[in-house]
Amino acid sequence: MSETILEAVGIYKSYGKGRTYVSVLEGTNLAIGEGELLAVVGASGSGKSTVLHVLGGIDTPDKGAVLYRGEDISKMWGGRRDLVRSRIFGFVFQFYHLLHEFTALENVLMPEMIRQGVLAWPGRRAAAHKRAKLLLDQMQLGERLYHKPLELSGGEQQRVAIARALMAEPKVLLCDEPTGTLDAKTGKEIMGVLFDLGRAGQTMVLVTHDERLASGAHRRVTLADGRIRQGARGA
Amino acid sequence: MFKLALVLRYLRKRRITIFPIAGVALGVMALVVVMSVMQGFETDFRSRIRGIMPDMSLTFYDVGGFVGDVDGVVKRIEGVGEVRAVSPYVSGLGLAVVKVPAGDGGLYENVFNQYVNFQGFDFARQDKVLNLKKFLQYGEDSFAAHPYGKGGQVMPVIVGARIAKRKFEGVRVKTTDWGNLDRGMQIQLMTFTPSYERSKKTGLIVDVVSTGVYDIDEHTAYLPLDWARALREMPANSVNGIGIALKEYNEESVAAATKHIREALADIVAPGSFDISTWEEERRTFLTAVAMERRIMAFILFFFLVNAGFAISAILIMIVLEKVRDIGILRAMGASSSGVASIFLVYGVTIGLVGAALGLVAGVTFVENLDYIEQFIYQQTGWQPFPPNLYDLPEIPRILNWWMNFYIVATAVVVSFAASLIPAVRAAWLDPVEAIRYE
Repeated sequence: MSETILEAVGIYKSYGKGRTYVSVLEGTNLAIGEGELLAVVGASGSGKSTVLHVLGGIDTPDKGAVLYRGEDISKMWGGRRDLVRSRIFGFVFQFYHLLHEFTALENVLMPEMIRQGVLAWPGRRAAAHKRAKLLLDQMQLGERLYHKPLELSGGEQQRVAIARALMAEPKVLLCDEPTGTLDAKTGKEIMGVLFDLGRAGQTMVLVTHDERLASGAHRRVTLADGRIRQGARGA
Repeated sequence: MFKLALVLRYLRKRRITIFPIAGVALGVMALVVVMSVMQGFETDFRSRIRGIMPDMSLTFYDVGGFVGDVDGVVKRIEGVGEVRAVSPYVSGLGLAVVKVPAGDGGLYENVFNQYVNFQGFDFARQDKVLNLKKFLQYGEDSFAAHPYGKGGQVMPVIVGARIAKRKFEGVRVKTTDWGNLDRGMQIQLMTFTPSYERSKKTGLIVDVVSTGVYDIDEHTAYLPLDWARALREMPANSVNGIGIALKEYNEESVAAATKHIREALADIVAPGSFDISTWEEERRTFLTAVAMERRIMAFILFFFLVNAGFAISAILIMIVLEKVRDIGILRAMGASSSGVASIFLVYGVTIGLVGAALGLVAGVTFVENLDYIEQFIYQQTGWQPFPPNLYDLPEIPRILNWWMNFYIVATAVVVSFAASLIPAVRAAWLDPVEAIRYE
């Protein structure tokens, strides 16, 4: 395996209190190599999404560490973690999670807007627009730049979401059931896009219960009872 | 940059925002209009009182006033560097009984009576201390110029405008521009002497003084100094007080003049027998009441803005609830919790700024066209909000104080900011994981 870029070490995570207490992760260990396309599979409710959220720094573990190139990002102070999240990770969600009031182009520009202040933005605007348009072109959405999300199909929305995740040139792309709500044909298209990215060297963690998607990954692991149970080399 | 983009987009897409903007605008407009008019009234009242009262008054405590070298006292005070003019006076509380000539030539006695604060002075001196002629209907030295006052045979009296305005039931009299009393009508003044004996003199009205200050116009009678002494049966070398005009009226000048006058009089007037006060000190109760009224109005109208603040809070909380998912997405993309909070703070402050700007423009426009608006209301409804005869004002006084307007706008923005805090904090504290799951 190539050099480890991201690693979860002994992660514990639970939700609720008293009767509603649920222990989701119980000492989960997971390492992702640079340029690796890792699929995390598991039954519904097994904690796949939680692993992804903890890895990406949008959730914090109760116990354990998340190391990015050896540095524990789970213990970082909020502002610094936000910065790390905006520079290292890109997220693709099952329900696309696009901002409905903004066009496809504006949605893709959003990560760059978050990174830039009001004063810096005018200087970055032209370059950011160029890159956003290029990404949307690559996603075959060159004709849909100014469409609002609700004017796009599910597959198109997910491609916009992938373009948005790639906008900030993330070191690790975290995808949570990216084909979960799509029909078979559209799901296959999205898989193609993701596998292309994987082939191009994009480090990626795919949380999925879609066997076809998981089988296309370099490696797949199964999450059961809050722990990574098995690992297998894939494509 | 994303904060500005989101605020602008939310503002454009949320028409409901019009309501808190209108609330803030109305509050700011009401404050600008009411504060401008209140300040106009206050300034107008102050200038009227200021015009009819000397800068300072030296008042003798004794009911019989000061008896002695009055000319010497006057000269000593005139010699003080800060003093511009001096006018000794005799004053007292009296009862005025007006006798109106009837249409058939007969005389109706005791048509009405009215308590008055009468003051006797030398017209020329008094006119130097305060601009007396400006307030008189005939605008001249009525004591000297009018035939009724000539020769010292008849007591000439200047009466307050509100006394002159009194209506006389069943009596047909010629009505002048300023009321029913005019030159030549009889007036009897009754008072008490320093030894508390009743004293009365009958005189003729020679002029009417109109200051626009209710208290002065309702209860004032002016007469020559000698006649006032005669009325009160005080000796020729006596006065109750001395009106003093200063070259400059300010805190330093007043303090210096008070000190120098006391020093100048030290050897001829007993130090504890008199008091020196400014016109503001004498009218402190009234001036404080007017200023207090303005503050109370500002306080009451401030709740307009607080109300608008609640509207801002309600709208923003609604938007936060509606945008839970968006907030989660932004957080996932690296937006900080403070960045998310600032979206709603900027949003609220923008509502405040837009509302305050609209309210300021509307308020200033309203104030500038107050008389036209009043006329319009009068023409359309027959109701006159500011009857000119009630306040003796040709137009509604108003002062557009830009500092005050700045404070009003700043208050509106601060209220909007405060109103946005709860929704902003709520948005900032949203758990991004929960927010993303929200679908």
